[in-house]
Amino acid sequence: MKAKQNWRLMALLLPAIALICVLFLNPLVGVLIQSFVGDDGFTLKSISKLWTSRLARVVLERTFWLAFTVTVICLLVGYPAAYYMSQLRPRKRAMITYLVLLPFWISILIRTYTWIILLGREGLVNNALQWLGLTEQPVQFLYTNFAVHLGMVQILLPIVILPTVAGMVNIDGGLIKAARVMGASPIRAFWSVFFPLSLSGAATGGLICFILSLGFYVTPTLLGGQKSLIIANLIDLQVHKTLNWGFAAALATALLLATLLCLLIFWLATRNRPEFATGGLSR
Amino acid sequence: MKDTGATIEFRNVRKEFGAFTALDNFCLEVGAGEFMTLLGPSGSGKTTALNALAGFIDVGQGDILIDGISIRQTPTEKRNIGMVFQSYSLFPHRNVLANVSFPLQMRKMHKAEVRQRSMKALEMVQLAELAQRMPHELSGGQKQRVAIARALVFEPRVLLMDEPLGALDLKLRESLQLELKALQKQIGSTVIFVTHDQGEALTLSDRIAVMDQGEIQQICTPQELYDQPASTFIANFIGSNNILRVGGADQHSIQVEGLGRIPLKPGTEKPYAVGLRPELIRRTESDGVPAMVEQTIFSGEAIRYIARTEDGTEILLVEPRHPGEAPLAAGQSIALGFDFENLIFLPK
Ligand SMILES: Nc1ncnc2c1ncn2[C@@H]1O[C@H](COP(=O)(O)OP(=O)(O)OP(=O)(O)O)[C@@H](O)[C@H]1O
Ligand SMILES: [Mg+2]
Repeated sequence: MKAKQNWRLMALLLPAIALICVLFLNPLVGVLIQSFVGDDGFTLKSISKLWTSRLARVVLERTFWLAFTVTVICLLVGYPAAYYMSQLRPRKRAMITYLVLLPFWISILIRTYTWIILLGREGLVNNALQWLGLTEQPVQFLYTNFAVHLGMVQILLPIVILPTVAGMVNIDGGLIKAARVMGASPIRAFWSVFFPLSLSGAATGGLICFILSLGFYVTPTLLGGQKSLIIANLIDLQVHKTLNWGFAAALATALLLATLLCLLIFWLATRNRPEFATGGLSR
Repeated sequence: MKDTGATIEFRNVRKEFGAFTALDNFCLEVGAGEFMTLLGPSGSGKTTALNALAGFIDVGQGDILIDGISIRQTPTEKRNIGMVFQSYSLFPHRNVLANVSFPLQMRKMHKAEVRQRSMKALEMVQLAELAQRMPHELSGGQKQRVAIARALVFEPRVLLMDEPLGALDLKLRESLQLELKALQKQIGSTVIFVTHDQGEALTLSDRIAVMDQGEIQQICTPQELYDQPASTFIANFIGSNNILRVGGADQHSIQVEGLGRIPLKPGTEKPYAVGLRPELIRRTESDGVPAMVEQTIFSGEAIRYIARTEDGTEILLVEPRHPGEAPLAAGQSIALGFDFENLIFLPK
């Protein structure tokens, strides 16, 4: 009886599973195979190039570092905002949530181009700085790591904020009261109760942000310079310019494995913490 | 008993939520080491009173004093109050020991002492073996006991408990009641205890304050409350009772529905109603109030009868059960006997 019901419920997943198979697994396997296929059949050349090519290693490292710093900045900026939102009444919180989501209505491409307009040599920011007399020459914002971070943080911030808020809203307000009556000042109650309990939601947001950052393409390409070439650019280069599809596939595989490794580490680090089991999204 | 308990006093405390008055001119004095129970129906302001004492809400008017000193300006964390919440409120990210240690850590106590005192508190509630468990790995009763240990661990002079046993089944509740009472005696804290359960209130309390609609209706010992309820509301709320309307009266007697004419002591005012405990009614052979059994209810150690008198009044009576003896059947005629001094004259 129970098993039968489970099967019926599983049937609801079928469309999603079919979609994943056709649109996701199929190309994924294709990429995996591609990384082992050369001009004359099976080869390990592409894969071994991951080790031998200095470029590949540097770019892979840089990609992870970029994803890491972007995530940290998103968390540092997003956490206080999320805290503010979590303390609002539900109605007002819903309103602010719409505002946080508002940027999603505008394409990433457009938002990135907007940064080019704002940060360019003749852009709004430089004009303002010069007008204020803070600088004589226009500052080089565009095509730097700074611009890449700015663009990515702006895009990813809502993705960090929303799960963090959800996690915080789930924290039972009675626990804070309990901490207070047991002798904790508001600040100590925050650090010893609220903060640890909010970590699961924030970690979920951070993890999603990190993984999305690894695959970012448009923003780093348009806002970054040569020094911020990341793995997506490198793959693109192999596909479109050098036509080395095998190496492109190997790079993609490496990125995938590294991402899975991150998930595994996150899981290992949190599996014994009950509050992480739900990812902070519900309880 | 140690003299750790503090005195508590609510002076004309008033608390409004918008247009709604949750506490109305609330006055309550609790002696050092006393076990005071707030008893009242849902929404009568019991939790509000505790929250005001703990400092979770600001009171609009009036004052609250601990040991004669006003605490209105004292922040919650400086009030030194132990509190057990109805919803347990254990910290889910801390294990049992760390939960119990929390109040001591906040008091910047030495690590070794924190550990030793926390373990002692856990032993008091017989949970020492579960010190390393996480809260979600505990049963409801175990959680409740951790919450109690956590409230007691710093031997607070004031202990507030908001329906601490509410979520437990009857058996566990009864055994925890006794434990709780013993622990309180041992530590000597002044306790304000909130409950819906009048049986629990009668068992545990030194005194009971009955609340209704933000006001205290009566404060007295459990026995007085049972024997001399001050109003129909209380007579109904505590135990079961027959509340009988009063009809015409003259100088010496009143007409009580169901019972007939009852003599009135000289100088007494005509009551609003008369109460008669069902266990104080006995069946007599003759010269009682004639009635007919309508329903027989078996409740373990006792049998309850709902009888109807000739004027149509429903009367509840309770008899201890004698094994082997068949209870009366519905439709049987009986006579009800009672003593005049057992009648409760209710002024309102
Ligand atoms: N924050 C609040 N805002 C508005 N009304 C409130 C608030 N807190 C309590 N009340 C109201 O005050 C009244 C008393 O509430 P309180 O929680 O003290 O009741 P209680 O006696 O503890 O009831 P229960 O036995 O159900 O817990 C209730 O009618 C409640 O609706
Ligand atoms: Mg309550």
